[in-house]
Amino acid sequence: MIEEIEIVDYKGFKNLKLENLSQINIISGENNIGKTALLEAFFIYESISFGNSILFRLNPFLSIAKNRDITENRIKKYLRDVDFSVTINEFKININYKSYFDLTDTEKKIIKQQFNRDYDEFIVCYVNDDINMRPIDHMNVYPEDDNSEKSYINSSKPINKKLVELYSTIQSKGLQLKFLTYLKLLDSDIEWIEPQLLDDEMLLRLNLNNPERSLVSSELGEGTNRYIEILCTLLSNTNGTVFIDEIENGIHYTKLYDTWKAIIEIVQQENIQLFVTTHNLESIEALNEASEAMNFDKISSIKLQKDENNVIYPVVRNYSSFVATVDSGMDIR
Amino acid sequence: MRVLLVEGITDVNLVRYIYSQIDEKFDFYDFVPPKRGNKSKVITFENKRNRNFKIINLKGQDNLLFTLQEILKPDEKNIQKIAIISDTDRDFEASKQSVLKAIEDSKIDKDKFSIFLTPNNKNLGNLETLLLSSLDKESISQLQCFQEYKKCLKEKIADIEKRAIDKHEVEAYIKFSQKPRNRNQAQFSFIDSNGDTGLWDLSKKEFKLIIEFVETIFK
Repeated sequence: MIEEIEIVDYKGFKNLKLENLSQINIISGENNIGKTALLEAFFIYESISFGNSILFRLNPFLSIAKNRDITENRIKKYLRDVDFSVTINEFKININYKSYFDLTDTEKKIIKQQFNRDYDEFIVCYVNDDINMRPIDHMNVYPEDDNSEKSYINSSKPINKKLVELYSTIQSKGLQLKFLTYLKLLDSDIEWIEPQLLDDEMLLRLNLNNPERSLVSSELGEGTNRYIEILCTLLSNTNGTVFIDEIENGIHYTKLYDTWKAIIEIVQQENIQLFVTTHNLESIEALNEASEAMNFDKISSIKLQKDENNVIYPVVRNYSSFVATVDSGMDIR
Repeated sequence: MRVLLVEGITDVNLVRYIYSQIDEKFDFYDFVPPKRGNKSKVITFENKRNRNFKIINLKGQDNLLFTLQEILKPDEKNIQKIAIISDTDRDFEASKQSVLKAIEDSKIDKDKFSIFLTPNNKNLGNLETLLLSSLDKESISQLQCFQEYKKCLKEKIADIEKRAIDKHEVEAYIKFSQKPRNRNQAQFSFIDSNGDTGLWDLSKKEFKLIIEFVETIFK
């Protein structure tokens, strides 16, 4: 679990230190202050494997670029700007762009050993004293199969393909009935859900009662699609970390309480650490109420603010402070 | 952020009333309570015109340290000023020390604080003492009657508290002024649905100190 993080010179952050992170971490702040950037920083960290030697992938960077609507012809430029420095728990991580001529002799040696052809450009990842490198190559750009996307929910409406992929993971784990129970919390009229191949496209089909009808996911409201995406993502990331950008998007405010109750139950049962951004007061209040109802206190809130010199700093509240502040009616967004 | 902490809803409304007179653009209802009701331990009134201005109703001085530690301390960097209006009740020095101890225990920078002890930073009392001191009792019929009633209360009930009598006297003044539709609660006595009740005259010298104090926070 990520308990603390220090981000240096990433996006708008000069030096941002966060401590006492919890199982559910809710990130708020004004528009363009860096909520999504912070989420991305956690996401990049989570994508690095720390074994005997480190292993990092370019895919998370590419997923972020995709989420930010960076088109394929601008992706190389985007990667050339990568300069990411972060300390999380005991790991000091530095990921940045280097051309071949900027590499040290040691790094050139590693390149020779690892790859059997020449590359001009690289993303280099340093973790403590360890080095790992990925060449920038057209093969890396927008990969078809990107596992990292299965833990990151961006702020827009999910596409059918992604929903089906996520639901397939639920099927593989045999969690369909559990999933359905949580889904009924949002809409008790949902009877059953299953994938369907329709006109060469994979979709999710939902059978409803009252009135009795059958709809594919694209015919459902954004809220239901979003909720399905959240449930599937959580249930397929047992013992992992999940990132949700603007959690409330599409979900009706009357359903936020039930949504948070379902989320709290799943993160406890599946041992998931969750990072979410929000700028919605009702969502924060719903989390507060759901946590009190469920006696769940593993929550931290992080509000990003700017000081008089425009430097971004965090206001981190532990659970008791979060509850006291939200209960009092003070706006923590 | 500039925050004013007060003991109860009457104090909140007096501060809102004073604030509304600071500038013609300011309004009593600029400070709004949360939509979700008032079951919580303390209540924040946020200023919709200037979100940096806040009044917190502590619902009693016992919640001062809780509010400082749990609500304000995490956001200390963003706070320019914390003002506290507190009653002095029976022991001026003890009341002052109690506020100072809460400030000390909160570990918030002491330079950010200012304190006003009602009624006037030197005498014993509370908000009702301050309100009553601004009235010309000789010219208000119900308060003349109240003096006899007060004598009787003191004779018949040995341990009756001055605070209780003061509250009662304020209620009698409001109730029989017939202004806010016979309501007798002090919290409704500043502004009602018809606007300014005219029950309290902020130009009276007794209000000078508290007005200056509120101005240092919200002007």
